[in-house]
Amino acid sequence: MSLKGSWSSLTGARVVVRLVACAWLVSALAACNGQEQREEERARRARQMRDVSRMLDAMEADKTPTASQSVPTAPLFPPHSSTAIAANDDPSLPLLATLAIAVAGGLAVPALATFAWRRRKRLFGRRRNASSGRPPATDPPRTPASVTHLDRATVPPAWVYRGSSFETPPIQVADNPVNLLMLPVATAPPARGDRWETCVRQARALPRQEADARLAHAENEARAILDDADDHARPELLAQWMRIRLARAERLSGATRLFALRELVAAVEGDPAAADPVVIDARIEAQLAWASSMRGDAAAARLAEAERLCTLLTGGDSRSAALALRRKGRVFLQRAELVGGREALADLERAQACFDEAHTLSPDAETALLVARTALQRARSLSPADAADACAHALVHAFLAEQDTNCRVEALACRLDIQLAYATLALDDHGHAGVTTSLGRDLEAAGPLAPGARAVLAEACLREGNHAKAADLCESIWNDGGAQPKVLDLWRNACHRWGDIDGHDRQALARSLRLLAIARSTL
Amino acid sequence: MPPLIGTTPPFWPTRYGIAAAVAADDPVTRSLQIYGEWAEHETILLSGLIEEGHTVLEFGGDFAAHALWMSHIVGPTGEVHIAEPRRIRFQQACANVAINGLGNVFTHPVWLGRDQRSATLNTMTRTDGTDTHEMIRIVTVDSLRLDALHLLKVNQPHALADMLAGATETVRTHRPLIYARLSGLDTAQAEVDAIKALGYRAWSHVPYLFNSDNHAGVETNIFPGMVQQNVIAAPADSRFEFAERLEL
Repeated sequence: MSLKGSWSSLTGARVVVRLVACAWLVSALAACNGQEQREEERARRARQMRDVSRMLDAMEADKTPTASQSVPTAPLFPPHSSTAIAANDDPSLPLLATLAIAVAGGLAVPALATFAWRRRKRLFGRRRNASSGRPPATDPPRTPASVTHLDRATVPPAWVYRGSSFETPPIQVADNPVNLLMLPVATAPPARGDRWETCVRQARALPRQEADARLAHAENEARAILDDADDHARPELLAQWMRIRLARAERLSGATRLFALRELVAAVEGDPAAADPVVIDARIEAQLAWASSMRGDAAAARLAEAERLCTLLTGGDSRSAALALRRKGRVFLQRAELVGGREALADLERAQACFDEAHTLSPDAETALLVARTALQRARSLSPADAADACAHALVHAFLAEQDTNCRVEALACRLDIQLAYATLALDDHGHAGVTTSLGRDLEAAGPLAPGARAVLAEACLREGNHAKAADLCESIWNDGGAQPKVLDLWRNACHRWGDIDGHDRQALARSLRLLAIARSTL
Repeated sequence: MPPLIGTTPPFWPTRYGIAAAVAADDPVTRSLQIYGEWAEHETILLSGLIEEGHTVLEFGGDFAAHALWMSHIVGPTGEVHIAEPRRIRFQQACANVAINGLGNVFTHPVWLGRDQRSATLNTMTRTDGTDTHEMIRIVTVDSLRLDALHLLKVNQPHALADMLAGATETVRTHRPLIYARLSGLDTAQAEVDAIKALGYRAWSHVPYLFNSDNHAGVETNIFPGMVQQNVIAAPADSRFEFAERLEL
């Protein structure tokens, strides 16, 4: 018993010794830890551990996809104290660490080993609790606000469309700039032929951004000169400034253009030079441009104002009188477009009378072209007998206009249009086909054609049996944003007749039909 | 309560003023944010129809995107009324009106229907699930007692026929132009018939959502080939004629 008691005592003594040793070691660890808590050492160690942590993160990223995927969702909250404590709960940890201290006599190696072991344990725990949203204790804290702001600011919402063969081509979605300035240079008074007008004309051929920059520069320059000008030079400069502003406005769209036109008209009305004929002419242009952007009563009000200004424009010499008549005729033309039906014909008659008188007073090519176009427009609304007379009147003036090189292409297109209209009136077809073919060839050779001229050429091609070319021309008009119902009808007829031809290009016809369907559905 | 993380968007400079909007997955907000405008092709048509001194009623606020330009066109002597039944969208429209200082814009947190009552949103239109059970107040256009009305613009889908049923007196008195987005294949014919029954002629307007000449100058088209099927209608005895458009 005593032996047993001795063994018991011995065993008990060993236990006590072990306990004392453990207590000593724990005390030693505590002492070491106490030393480690010194500020410099702790900061240095924290940096080392963070660096090692990042290295291990990088090394383990490829091996642990689950863990890496959960990282972005995890750090929604700052580290919690209980989380840090939980990582130290293993009772063997102080003992191992203490023994390592005792044996190695240092801290670096066991610390790294311990850290690696703790980290592995933590990563394992994180994988199991990936949805808990708790961050690892060593991760830098991120506030919810910063995370939210960052994510919202940098990650765009997923709105991705995939292209397909049925996708609408982007060409026709752009509204082409509207030509708000009334007439090309030949109709303008001589004083207009200056560098600003050249600038406006050149800007029309440029891309939007570049044109706007150039026009803005010209406007500023004109404005600066206008502000320093004396009373004698002011009207001409003011009119020029207005035309530059109009050229800028024609590049705008929708309400923006409307605001610009309204602002322009208001800016000039109070000017002392507003009553000068040159400025009145520019004001008429602005009113007509404004009316072209409006419909119904609003457009009628703008046209009424333009007509009133025309009465102020009438001067003593024949040139001024001709200019006033041309402007008035233009008002009637726009009014005819607005009202339609029988009233339109009455306005066309008034416009015709104005242009005829203007041509008598000042027989230039542009006025002759206006006479020809208006007569042709009338011919389409008249009885066959009257229409033939109107066509003859138009043809004479188209020939006159063709003599001017600046008007040649437009006059040729007008002649072809007249020929087509006249051919529908004639009882026989004798000689018309040859004239149409010849005119079409001349027009095509004349150079790049405006959409209106291409529409006339397309109709001529259709009548001559060149259906594929007619369809191509209609498509090009649509691509340029100039497709009206009449052009689409022409296109449809061309495709219809094209398909009736034996051995036609099926692929080309199918493509043209598909684009026509898009054009019609988006009218 | 968790913080409303989606309610702090930045302000966007748009073609007609400053705008901000919630619901980043909405086409209107996407367009405002990226292009600085929304449905500009609608604006191109409608800006030729209204003028200074006019009164406009718009059902479906679209975050006041169109109220910004309409307010400037009608000027201080005109009025723009917006009816937007959904709470957050209504508040956002009010905010955009306020930050742009639009004194002639009036906002109404109501659904424009055929009678006056309350209902949940999902009983009136298709919803995306986020505001399905939101209670909305329904009133008639006639009950607004507008002194004038020149344009009735309907953006809200599945609302046109009922709204017109509640607007007979207003339409008969003021004969406004009507511009509406048709709701879809199943309801388009009924909606056009409802317009024609008022003595109107109707024409198709199919504007592209993407405007290549957009305010921000962004060339990327996030709405490729996408159009709205809209209708523009005018009293048959008026002088409005949209000959270049397909008459319905």
